[in-house]
Amino acid sequence: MAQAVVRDIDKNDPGRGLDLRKLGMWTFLGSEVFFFGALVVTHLSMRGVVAPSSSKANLDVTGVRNLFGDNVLTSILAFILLTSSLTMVLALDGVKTNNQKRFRFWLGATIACGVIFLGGQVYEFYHIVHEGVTIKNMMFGSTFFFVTGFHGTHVAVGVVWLVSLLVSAIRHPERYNAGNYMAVELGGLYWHFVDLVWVLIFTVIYLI
Amino acid sequence: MAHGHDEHAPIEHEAHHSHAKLYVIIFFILLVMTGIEIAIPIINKAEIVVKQVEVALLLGLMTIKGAIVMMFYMHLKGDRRMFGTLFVFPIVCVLLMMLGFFALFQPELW
Amino acid sequence: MATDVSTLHHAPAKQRRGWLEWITTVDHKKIGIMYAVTAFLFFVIGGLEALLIRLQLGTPQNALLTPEAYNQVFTMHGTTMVFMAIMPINAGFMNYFVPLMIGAGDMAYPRMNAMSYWLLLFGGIVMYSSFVFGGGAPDAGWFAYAPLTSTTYSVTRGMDYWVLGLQLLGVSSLAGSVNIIVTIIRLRAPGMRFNRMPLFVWMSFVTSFLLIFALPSITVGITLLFFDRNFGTNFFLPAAGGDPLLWQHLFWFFGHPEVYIMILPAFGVVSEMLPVFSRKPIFGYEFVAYSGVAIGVLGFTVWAHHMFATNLGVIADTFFAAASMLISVPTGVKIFNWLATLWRGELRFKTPMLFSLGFIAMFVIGGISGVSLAAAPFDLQVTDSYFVVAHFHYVLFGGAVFALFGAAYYWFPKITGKMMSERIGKWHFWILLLGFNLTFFPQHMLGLQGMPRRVWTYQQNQGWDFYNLLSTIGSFCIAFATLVFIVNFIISLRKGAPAGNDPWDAATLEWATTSPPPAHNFDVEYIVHSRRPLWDNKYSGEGRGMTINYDFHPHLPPPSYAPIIFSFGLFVLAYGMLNLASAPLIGIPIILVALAIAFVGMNRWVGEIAQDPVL
Repeated sequence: MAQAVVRDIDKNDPGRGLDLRKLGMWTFLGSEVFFFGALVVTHLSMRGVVAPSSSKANLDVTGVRNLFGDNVLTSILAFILLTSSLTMVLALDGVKTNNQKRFRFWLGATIACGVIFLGGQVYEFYHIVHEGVTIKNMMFGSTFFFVTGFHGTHVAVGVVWLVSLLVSAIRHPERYNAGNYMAVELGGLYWHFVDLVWVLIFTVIYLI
Repeated sequence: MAHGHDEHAPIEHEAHHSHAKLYVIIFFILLVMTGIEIAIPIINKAEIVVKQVEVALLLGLMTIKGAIVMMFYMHLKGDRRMFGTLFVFPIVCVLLMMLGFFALFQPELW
Repeated sequence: MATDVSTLHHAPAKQRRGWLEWITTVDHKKIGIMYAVTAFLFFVIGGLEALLIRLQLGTPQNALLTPEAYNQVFTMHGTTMVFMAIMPINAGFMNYFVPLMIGAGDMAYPRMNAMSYWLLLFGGIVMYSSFVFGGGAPDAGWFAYAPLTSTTYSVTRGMDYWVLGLQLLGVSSLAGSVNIIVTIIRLRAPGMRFNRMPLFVWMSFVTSFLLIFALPSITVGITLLFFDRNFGTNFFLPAAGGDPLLWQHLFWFFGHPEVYIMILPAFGVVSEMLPVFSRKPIFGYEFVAYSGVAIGVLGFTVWAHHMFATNLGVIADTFFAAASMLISVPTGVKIFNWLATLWRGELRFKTPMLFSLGFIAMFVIGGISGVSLAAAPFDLQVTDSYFVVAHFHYVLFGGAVFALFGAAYYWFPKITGKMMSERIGKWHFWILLLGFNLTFFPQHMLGLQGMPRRVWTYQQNQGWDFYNLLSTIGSFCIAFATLVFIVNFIISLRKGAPAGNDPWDAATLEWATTSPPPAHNFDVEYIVHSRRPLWDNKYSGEGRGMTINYDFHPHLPPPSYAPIIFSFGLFVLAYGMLNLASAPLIGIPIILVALAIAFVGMNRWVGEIAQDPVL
């Protein structure tokens, strides 16, 4: 009798039956939202500042923005990261449908996309520094490298995470399957979040 | 005690239905939208429309893209509402915080 | 719920003995005790620093401390009390009692919980090691205003230690808060709906959200600061186009919610203690709970009231002044609810009750000076004066610390199974109340007479001498009171009367188990039917408050070395980062070693998760 009452109470509870790890992941991502919010607002507030006494590279903002050309490189990077989101979700689809081959293939593809993205970002940084904009000599450079650098760090952490998933999936072939895919889903959530941040950064920093 | 599995998670290893087709369609939608985003500043170099309209367009596209990623790739659509709340509430708060910072950093807007 | 756990049930975890038992523990109760003891230790250290400050200021033109030493001491006093004393004591009580109060067996992520504790300890060690290795402690204030933090004005490595210590403490708090949030959402006993949770659990819930939303802002701020100091950026340096106000915005966007992070758990424990010692339910449960939520939300809209003196503009000043005053509404709601709880209650003046009442009185004084400070014109008159010092000590010491001492007396029997001495406890309370007011009330006068805060010394015959002397005498009363507490603690731990399960005849679930509780907390599962399960069972009829499910198989994760190894990796990483810019040949190898240690820890951790899917 009491049990029946309890079930009724619990049916309306918003926390009933939620996966513990997924709950923690979403809570953490909520905190990350604030982290990137603070970073981006710092960039947007400060990027227009031109140092009163800066000795070199006193480019104004439009001058700096010409560095990116028509955003050819960043457009390619955006495309790669977008693709990686597709491959990640296909990897999860693979493990959920018990298709180990598809799971590993798409997970590997996601890792590859992540590595290419990081390579592209390193190249971009190199290019910009070569043009005379460094983290030290002007506010635009400082905040730009700060925001994109932190995003890049998140991508790198994501790559390490996914590699460890792949290694574990290869060493224990049946560990992840249609009944146990939470580890993959969590890695995926983090990865999509990093992609989401890039959607923001790409628009707000490069296009606007 | 609640250290158990999600009660919705299948106990047997029965395969789920594949959504691969949907994910690919979503990908192409996002791709097209990104293409439009990239094209807008290039087309508008000659200031065909005022800068504010351009920015509004870009921000609108960005929001829709983000929402699509959250709903379909992060599975918030159709998932338990608690997850979405935990994520969307901070996003709303951060937007307000950013507006606050802008207002304080550009007092000439007042 | 009981059935799906049985699939996970396996042989009881092997126990380690002695100090290894504490190092490897993932039990939220042991971790809670370690939190509280560590935090109390830091409270004593921060208190000794306060005594140094008061000794220096006791007489005019005193030369006990050099100006440099004074800067370090007041910076470390603030930093220690905020980040290493009050926050972790709150975290310790949350750790110990949130799972017990909601009828859970442990926190959601027991290993991550252990990591949170170790990072607190290591973060504190990093910060204090600056005295030895850094050429001097941090010296730019706990608020670390730019450009005082720049290498021009803060020449020692102190502020770098401050940044890295705070990073570790930040990770600790973030992990701890995620843990509390998930625990509360997911691990409540059957029937314990949100609107049946004890108010301390409610306030822990709100506090944890405040932490995860506020911490990122200071994380960004201190990282920018670290780059300014080490890698040549100019974020906060006006000469090179940086903006010191950016620091203030980032800092206070964290710093103001931080105030509520420290006080809301105190509101929670007082809301638990008052009904028990008034022998009646809390008045207006919903109002007390939701006003806490309202304080939390409003807390994010008021940060710039710390910056009235920075010329934000009339509209901004008006907005932030109005928002700050608005917060007094939900706070007032709480205070009137507490008073209404006392009204016609059958009051029992045990030590926890005395501290609760002391809390209300002192907090109201601090609240009133707070409302006056929210008025921008008045704030401009007294900003940066001792009036502000008096105000925030009334809310943080008179508020949070009084409530937490009360909580210590209230929960000591549950944690140790023994009662604390009432006689010594009452001495403790009255000496503390006297000493506290003697210390901080004169500071209102000092502030109104224009004595600036953060000054090393002052000229005589400005009307400040007498009040400063009073304040110094008072501070020694506080120190004596704390000594009385320590004596009481030790005596009671050895010879306290046995407490039994429920010495106060309280209403919430933590009193349903033994004192101290077994490792798995509860032998049975409680199915909750009311907000006061124990009282309703006792006074309204068996089964009205809660019923019992005997078909219950508690599951505990085994002890683990992974959390301490991983945290130690981050600890070493901090020292690597310290040397990265100044001596890369030392810094980079240390960083590599640190990453290797962290990797070993993480690897063990992941392996253990595969065995036992609890983080």
